[in-house]
Amino acid sequence: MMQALSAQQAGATPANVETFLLEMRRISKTFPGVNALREVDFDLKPGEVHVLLGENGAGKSTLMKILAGAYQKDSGEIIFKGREVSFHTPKEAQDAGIATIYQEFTLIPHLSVTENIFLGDELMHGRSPVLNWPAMHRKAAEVLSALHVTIDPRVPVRTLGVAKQQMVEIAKALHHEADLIIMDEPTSALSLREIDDLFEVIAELKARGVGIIYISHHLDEVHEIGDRVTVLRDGQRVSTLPVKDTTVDQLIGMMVGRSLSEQFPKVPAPRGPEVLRVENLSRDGVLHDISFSAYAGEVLGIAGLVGSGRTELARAIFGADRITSGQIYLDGQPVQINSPADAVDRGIGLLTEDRKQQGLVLSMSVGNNISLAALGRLMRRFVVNHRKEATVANDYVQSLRIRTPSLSQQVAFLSGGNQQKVVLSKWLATNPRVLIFDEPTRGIDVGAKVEIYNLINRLAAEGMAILMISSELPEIIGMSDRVLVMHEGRVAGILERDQISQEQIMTLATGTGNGNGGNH
Amino acid sequence: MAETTKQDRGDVLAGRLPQSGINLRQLLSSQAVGMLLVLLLLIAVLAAFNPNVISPLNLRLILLDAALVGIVACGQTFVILTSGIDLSVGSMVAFTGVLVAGLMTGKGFASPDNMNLPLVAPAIAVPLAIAIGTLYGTLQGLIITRLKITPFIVTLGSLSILQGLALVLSNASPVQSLPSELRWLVQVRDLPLPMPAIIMLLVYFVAWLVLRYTKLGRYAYAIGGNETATRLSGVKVDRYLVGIYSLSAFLASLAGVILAVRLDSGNYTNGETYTLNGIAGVVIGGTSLAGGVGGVWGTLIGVLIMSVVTNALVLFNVPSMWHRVVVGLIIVGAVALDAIRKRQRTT
Repeated sequence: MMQALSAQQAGATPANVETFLLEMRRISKTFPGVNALREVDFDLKPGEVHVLLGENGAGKSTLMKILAGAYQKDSGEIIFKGREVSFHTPKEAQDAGIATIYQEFTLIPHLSVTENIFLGDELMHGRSPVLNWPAMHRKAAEVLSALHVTIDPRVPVRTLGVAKQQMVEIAKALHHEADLIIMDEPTSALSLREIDDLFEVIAELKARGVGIIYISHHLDEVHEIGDRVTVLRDGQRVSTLPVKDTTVDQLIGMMVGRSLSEQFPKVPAPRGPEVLRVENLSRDGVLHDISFSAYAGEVLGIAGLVGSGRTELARAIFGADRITSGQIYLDGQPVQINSPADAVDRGIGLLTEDRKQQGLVLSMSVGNNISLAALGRLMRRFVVNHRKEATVANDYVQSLRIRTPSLSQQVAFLSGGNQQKVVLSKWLATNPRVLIFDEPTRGIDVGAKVEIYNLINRLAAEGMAILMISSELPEIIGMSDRVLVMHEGRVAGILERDQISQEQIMTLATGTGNGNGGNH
Repeated sequence: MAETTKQDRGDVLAGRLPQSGINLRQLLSSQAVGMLLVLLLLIAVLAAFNPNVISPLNLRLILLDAALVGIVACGQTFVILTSGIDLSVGSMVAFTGVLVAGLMTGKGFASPDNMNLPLVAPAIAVPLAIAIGTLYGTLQGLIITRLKITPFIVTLGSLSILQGLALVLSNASPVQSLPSELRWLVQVRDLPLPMPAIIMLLVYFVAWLVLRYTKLGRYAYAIGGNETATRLSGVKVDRYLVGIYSLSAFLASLAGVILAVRLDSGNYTNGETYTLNGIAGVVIGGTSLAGGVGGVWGTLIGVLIMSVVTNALVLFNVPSMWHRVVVGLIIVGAVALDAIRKRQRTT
């Protein structure tokens, strides 16, 4: 079990291949409507941290999913430990020694740390069918202490905080003798101190010769832990460089391929009257005493770490989750919103973070998706007015430039950007006063992103109040008139346009500004 | 919005979009058309072996046989479109049959012969029985949506409850000698089609209109396709689900009354096979058990296919013990077909 920790690669790498642990050559992958990857090269040495940078939709996740066996490449070759490989399932990749630490963990919450680490290859008492718990607990403790973390292997995983769960994931990877660990945005849910702990563990892994592919949005992390960095944009490799030869500005330039002002065509609109006011809104254990206002014509950005309650706030305002206390006002009038149906009646729309699971009915047509929320307005007594429905849907297809062969096209076959426009059309058809965008550009091509931004600006200019939740700071900074920053279910602060900066937002989001540092 | 992005080649976004495409699937899905061909081919092959298959008498027999299970399957189609299932419909047929027969004859009701119950006129007994059945469906819908229990469990419970009630109400023996005023419901002679078949076609036509032209129809597809997204679009999903389980119970009750009249007997065994055969018809007809895809015309064809097969088993002198085996095989085959179709849709 422990060889991975003690003796590294020795003997695993044939001499004819140089020092690379992994080489991916000319990897290409196409999805319907999207060129996800085009001839991408990527390599990794043992004991190296190779940072993979790129915007959402740049192809990072696709490349890593191909490596981890979750997707199949269309062409190209992968050489791992000197042998050409092609993983058809994640299990095959794991067995070969490639572990992935996802943003969402794959641990089983009710099982103990030991049980999670040993899941699938439990130790037995000799050849008997009886589990050898003392040995497993001891070995689990060994792996954990090798990472210099103190976790009792007997406690259920659910009792651990996010950071410790992540450590358990890493321990599990080590236990399974992983030579290569993919870390997908590992710091997105961590406090600053927890991030430091993680970086120490990464240094430990490096010393043991484990190769690490590190995906991140946070450019400052690149210089802290990276050895080399590869930037992807629009499915192509822009460049691979030693980290010490790069600057943050240079990396941004490579990632976006255009200046910030081109990328975020912000048009500040004059602030109109208050449309939405939230007072002392709470939801047990999730949201605490939240108060703010949103005005016609403004984009109010909502920033915060994963788990800070941004999506929960949106759902509470929208009536999707019950609130325990607090009051919502629309145009100064108190309103009761007990269900999404109430919210829609009042003129509130929510573009959910997860389009496919919560925004679209994938089995239905573009036209029927557009009319879904506004069907009540398209009736002649009890009969759906198909002609009016088609006219309305057609109007949105044209004004939002939705690229679809027809209204009857199944919405599942559209690209991410066009699907998002269908969801937006669905809400615009209800004539909303307030639109809440939750991660409006997640999984969308860079080009289509700009279109979405332009639409958001246009809607604000038309007098709508826009709430925009985003994990991407450039997006928040580039698009917002004001920014509400959340931390652990509370409003950590609201920044006016001239106060908005990456540092300000991060300070508020991590709770480091007022000394209540994010420990659990 | 003026600038054109790199990806936009304007290849698909011309000025006009075809508008007729909306809901075409609900009119005649390609699967329904495909299954119609299968039905015709099946009849043709069977006729080649035995010309009696296509004799007018036999064709009317097939229709008569399909009519009541067809009515039940029509309601089931709505339920399955929402990705639910209603296992109680067969028992509902038995329950309403016993109920309507008991109301009109005064027999049964757990207390044989000696109760001197007032007889209820057919004009009242029939609507009353159907109303009670429908109300039970409403109750089921409320339990499913309010208590968030899966339809499978709730309707499985009802399967037993309703059959039990049918047993209790009939005192476990057939309630016979129904009033003759109702015979028109099952008239076969001097009509272009047997009356039950006419009623069935009427039911399907109305159901098609409901699916195509009402909110309930549209939302049935939406709920089955993605209940969360539908709810988050402001649709009062629970209300429509209750309506759909009521509709299923209503149609099962209607079939229950007609079957009791046709057999001149309300019996707890009435409609025993309707649940399974009806679901088979729905699935063969192209409505996905996963919900969101399908329609009633497909179900009609599916039910007819089931009826043709059963009819052929009789004509070809297959011992009746084997019929259920064959029906079971067809059901497993249809579900396998559904799984294959689903895989095709998603890749």
